Amino acid sequence: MAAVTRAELGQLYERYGYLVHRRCRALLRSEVDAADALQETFLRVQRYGLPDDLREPLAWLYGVAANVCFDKRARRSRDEQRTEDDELSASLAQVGSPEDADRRAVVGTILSRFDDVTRRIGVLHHLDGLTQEEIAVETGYSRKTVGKKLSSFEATFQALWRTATGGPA
Amino acid sequence: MNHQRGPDCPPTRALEAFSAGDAAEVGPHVASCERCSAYVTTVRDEAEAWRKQRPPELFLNQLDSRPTPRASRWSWWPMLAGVGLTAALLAVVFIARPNPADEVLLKGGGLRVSRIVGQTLEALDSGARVKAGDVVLLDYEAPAKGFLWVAQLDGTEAVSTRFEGPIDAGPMRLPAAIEFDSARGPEWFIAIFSRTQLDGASLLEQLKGQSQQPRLELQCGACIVSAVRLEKP
Repeated sequence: MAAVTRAELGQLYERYGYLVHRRCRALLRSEVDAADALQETFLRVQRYGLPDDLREPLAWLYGVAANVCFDKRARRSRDEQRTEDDELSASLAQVGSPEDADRRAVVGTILSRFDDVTRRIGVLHHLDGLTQEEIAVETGYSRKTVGKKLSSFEATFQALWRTATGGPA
Repeated sequence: MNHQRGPDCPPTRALEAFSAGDAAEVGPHVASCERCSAYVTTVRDEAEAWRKQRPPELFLNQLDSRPTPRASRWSWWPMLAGVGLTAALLAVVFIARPNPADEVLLKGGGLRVSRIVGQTLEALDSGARVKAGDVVLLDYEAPAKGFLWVAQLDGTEAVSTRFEGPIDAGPMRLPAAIEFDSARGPEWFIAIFSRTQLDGASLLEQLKGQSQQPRLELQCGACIVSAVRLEKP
């Protein structure tokens, strides 16, 4: 890992700060938490440096930010379990059908209930917009594993949506 | 605005990278695709407005003024050094595998687990008791430059990857603090070091179902495995 100077950190922020903040907002559904997660993401960059062979800075920053956001969600859900569930129900109720593109709004909330591998795959698919084949190439997981993880997410999403909206089974 | 990816469109992430000045290879497509072009334009406009409100210097000053994490106020490596040997002896770790080509080294001292207690860190050896709400930090001392994979396995057989990536030789603290949930049972932390990249998915699969075992069994080629088993009654 290569150390990052203050000037380099500023340049990274100027170039990618908005996108990282936007990603955090998508995962946390809170402006305040997203701003905090953005700071935490860049603090980690400052503390641990950049990978020596960094080829896609944004993809790497998105990965760090996702870790920060899911850690934050885990803490938040333990502290405010009811609030988190209420938020999810309210968000799901806004989704017209389980097939809606609006599902991005609740991806972070639902993914926070899964293991790290599913989270990573879910973020790559639902937020980064990668196909299953592209995810398999990027992560090294088999296409079958990627498909299983996404199916698991999908089943959970549909079940939660039906519960929240009273929609058809 | 969300990007609806068409069959010939690049991933959303590539468009976002392009909007930031990277991923030049998607430029020709963006120029010819109304949907992608609109998305890039929107993201650029939003970014520009956002930057004006939050200039880098302001942001860096905010970072400077953030309180230092309480745990990091302590120089605790010396504190742990004294118990390092004990930790190595008590850490429950293991494996060894039938494949004679594998060179799994068994060590307990590479991984250290510490509980945050007020403004101090309490080193936790295998067998130590923890409870829901306890927050721990993980540290690892790599023997060389290589690849580290760290996971948590709990009594419900849930396995979570806590770190995965290249590391340099020497001590490092893993980025995230971990707070225990209320599920009872053992809490394993397993660190695997290798000079070459590890197959995290395979390791996750191997760990499932082993939480109640006194010794973990893993097959990871030429690697160094260290683990700490805590108890959450």
